[in-house]
Amino acid sequence: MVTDTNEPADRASTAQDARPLGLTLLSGAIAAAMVFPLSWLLVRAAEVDAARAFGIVFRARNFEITLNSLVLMGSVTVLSVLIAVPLAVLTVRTDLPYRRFWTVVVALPLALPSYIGAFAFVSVFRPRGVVQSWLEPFGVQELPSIYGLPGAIVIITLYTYPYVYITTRAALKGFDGSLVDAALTLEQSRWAAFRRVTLPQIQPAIAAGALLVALYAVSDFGTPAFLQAEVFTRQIYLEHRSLGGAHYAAFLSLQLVAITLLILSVESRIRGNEPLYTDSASSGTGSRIRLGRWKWPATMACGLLGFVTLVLPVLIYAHWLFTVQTTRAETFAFSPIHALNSVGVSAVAAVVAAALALPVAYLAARHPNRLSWAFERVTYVGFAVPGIVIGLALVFFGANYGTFSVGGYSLGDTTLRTVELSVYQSIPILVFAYVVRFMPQAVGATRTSVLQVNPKLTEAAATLGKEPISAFRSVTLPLIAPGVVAGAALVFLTTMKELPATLLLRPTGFETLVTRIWAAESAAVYGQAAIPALILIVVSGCSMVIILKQEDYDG
Amino acid sequence: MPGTDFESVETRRTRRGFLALGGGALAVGFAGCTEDATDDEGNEDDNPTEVGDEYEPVSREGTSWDDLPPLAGELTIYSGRTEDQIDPVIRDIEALYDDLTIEVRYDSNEAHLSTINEEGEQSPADLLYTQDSGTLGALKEMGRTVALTDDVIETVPSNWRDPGGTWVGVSGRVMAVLYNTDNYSAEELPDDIFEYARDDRFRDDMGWRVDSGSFLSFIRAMMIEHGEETTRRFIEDMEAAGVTNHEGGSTTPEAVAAGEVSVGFTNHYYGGRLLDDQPDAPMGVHFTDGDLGALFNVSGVAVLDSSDNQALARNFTRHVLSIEGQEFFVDTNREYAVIPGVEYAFDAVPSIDDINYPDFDLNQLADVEPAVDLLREVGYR
Repeated sequence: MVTDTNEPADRASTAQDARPLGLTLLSGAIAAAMVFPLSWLLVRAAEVDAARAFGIVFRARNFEITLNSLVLMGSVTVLSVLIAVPLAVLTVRTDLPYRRFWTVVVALPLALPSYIGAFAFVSVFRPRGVVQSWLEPFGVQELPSIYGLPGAIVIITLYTYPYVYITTRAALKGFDGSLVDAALTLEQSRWAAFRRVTLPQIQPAIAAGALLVALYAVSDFGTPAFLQAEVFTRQIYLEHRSLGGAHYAAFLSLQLVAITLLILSVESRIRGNEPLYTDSASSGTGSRIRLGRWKWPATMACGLLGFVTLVLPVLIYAHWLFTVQTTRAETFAFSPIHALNSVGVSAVAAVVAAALALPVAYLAARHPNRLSWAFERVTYVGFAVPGIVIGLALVFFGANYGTFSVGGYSLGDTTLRTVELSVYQSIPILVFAYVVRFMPQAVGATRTSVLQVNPKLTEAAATLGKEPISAFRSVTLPLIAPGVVAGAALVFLTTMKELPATLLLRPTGFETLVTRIWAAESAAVYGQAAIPALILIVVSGCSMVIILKQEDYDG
Repeated sequence: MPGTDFESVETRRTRRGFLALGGGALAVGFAGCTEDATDDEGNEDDNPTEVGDEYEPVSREGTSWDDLPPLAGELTIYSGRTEDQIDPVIRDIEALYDDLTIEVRYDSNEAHLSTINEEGEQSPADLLYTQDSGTLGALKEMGRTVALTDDVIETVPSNWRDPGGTWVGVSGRVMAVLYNTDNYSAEELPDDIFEYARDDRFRDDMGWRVDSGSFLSFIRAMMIEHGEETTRRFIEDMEAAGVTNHEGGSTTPEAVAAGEVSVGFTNHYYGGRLLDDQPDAPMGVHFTDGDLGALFNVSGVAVLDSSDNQALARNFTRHVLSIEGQEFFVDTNREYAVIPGVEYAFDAVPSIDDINYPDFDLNQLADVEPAVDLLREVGYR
């Protein structure tokens, strides 16, 4: 499927050299930079002698954690698809009232950090939480426990399914709905038409979204921590907290990487590499499905989802904001600088990630071969590795190898003076960590949009005497711009809510919205977490609107 | 010791040079760089900043900031304590001296340990300031602490510091029994921690905080003193008695004050803070007698072996151990002072002299992993 011999590959590469050397080298260098921090894991793991390593990996507890992680990843992915695909159909292809509004609402949970969602959930639904106190008059002493794996699965699903929703929605908008009408005139049932016509068309998009969900699910720390679910991330954190646990943590992380590589190869078989463009100009939406008496239940379902995932956490935070505060809260007073820092550093990370994703995604889409496939796939690994691992790896490299001597002469002085520059605890290393963690989102979005551009357009430009670079700039780039922007916006959104690597690598005194939320919550002054949390939700919500808008251009 | 300080002046010069630069901009202007370097050199020359070991000692009776030598230079603190608990006093000290800059990086105790471990000798940290003694013990085990000076060590009672003299507690807290005064008086409460698990009066009427480092320390200390089986039975008995597991520091005192439970187990200063905010709350603070129910612990500091600023870090430590520093911990955090010269001026909570806390070497709490394992086995984690 991904070899040089398959038909689309040949078709795509007729215009240019089968393997453009410069582009390949560039992609390779980018891919290498993205996996480089993980070499730290090998350094740490290599310090353990073989017998002990064997003992660490092959013990019952380790299998349990691995199994839990796989269950978490599998369940979250399946549930996300089951929630997101119907929602996408509902908001794109039916006559649901206020479809634009619901589109934003059901995509928005992605903007909330899972630790905010989980935190709110725990305070509301824990055995003796808010809900229990409402039910107490009716004799309910305790609610069933939400702790453990099932609770974590539900909550992570509620905050990550939008990955599938966004990709599926884009695919539904992009594909030719008149095909479904054709199927219907052949007296196929709605369901059969969906299964035979729509599903094969949107399957690569579902797979692409599901991949992000699966990788996010195993890399998320906040939710499993709040819900005490024993999965890789939580154990990796616990091990880092105990003396001498770094070695075991390295082994756990390597297992996580191994599982990730497996998932990545599986997904690339599902998604295929077929070009997604059509020769015809039409991509009409076809006729809308009439919901009839299902109209209100469907609206209610969207509303309930929005209430649980968005309104509830906001209410909890707002409640804290207005309850009694102590004088200690002064330390946590909000400053607009925090918001500016968040937005600034996230914007830089988004631009850098989008720029680096472009060559990798373009090569993978236009020149599919083993090498370009490998380059594209390895950029995904960082997305599955918990932030603390990337963070500590860069602490190690940054502190020990991140200082450079810069020499120079000053005016009127001929002696060479050298000054040491350190990247450790600076904005550049922080941005690099964000790019390693979140670039795959930009790679995915860009690759899909490249596949949607008919290569004949670039060929035409080439026959008109344009250089490949110039043809790319004047023909391809404008066409893929919405995908590139959507990818960058996803990186922006996830960077806004990243916490562990931020705490480890930020310049001293550099405060962002999430570091303020963290500071207030760790001091148990929850009310002071409310303002930064609410601003975070609003700003991220805006970037979500940008993502959704980009996809509107496609259809 | 004088040798080390001499060296540190040399290395500090280069380090401050690039720090100043990093703060400016990353786009390198050559003229700008060298200017920075000259400035720096100038400073070092006409003011060899700190005092090496020509220090003014602190004492148990209390030393004022006015009597301590001025601090100068740039100090980097890695803090596991939260901002509200130490930032005001750090900023007060910084404001005293023109040539002093104090940078504080806040993260969890454990994250700081991992970070220092990865940074190795290149760690920018001069001082680790932690929430509990266990983390300091762990730093010592990593071989990353250095000896403190005798005056500092002698100022703090031996129970409240490293017997080896490489870390020192700067403020103290004791595990306490918070109780609702509408339901009980202090005399009616058991003085033996194990009694609470067995006494039927408290069935379904107790709460404790299970997600804190202090709780881990408490469980670990009990395992060391009484063995794993006794500790396991105690937790199971508490569970059977229907204890409510709280998360977050203020939850337990709030539950006690609201009458949700009559008895709660937390560090004493959570009770103190609630009584600060709500002086009329029906809540009292009681301590068990000489057992681990009254386990004391300290928040403390250690100077890093890799620091270029060890003399400055030690003098900073003297500042927090002086009268003004200690009064801050009492007034703001409702913690106990670690020097006898500062009184606990807060009536709502018994003073440290009235508490019979157990004799316990806090270094033993460096590794709390056995407690984590036990809590996992009984289903708490």
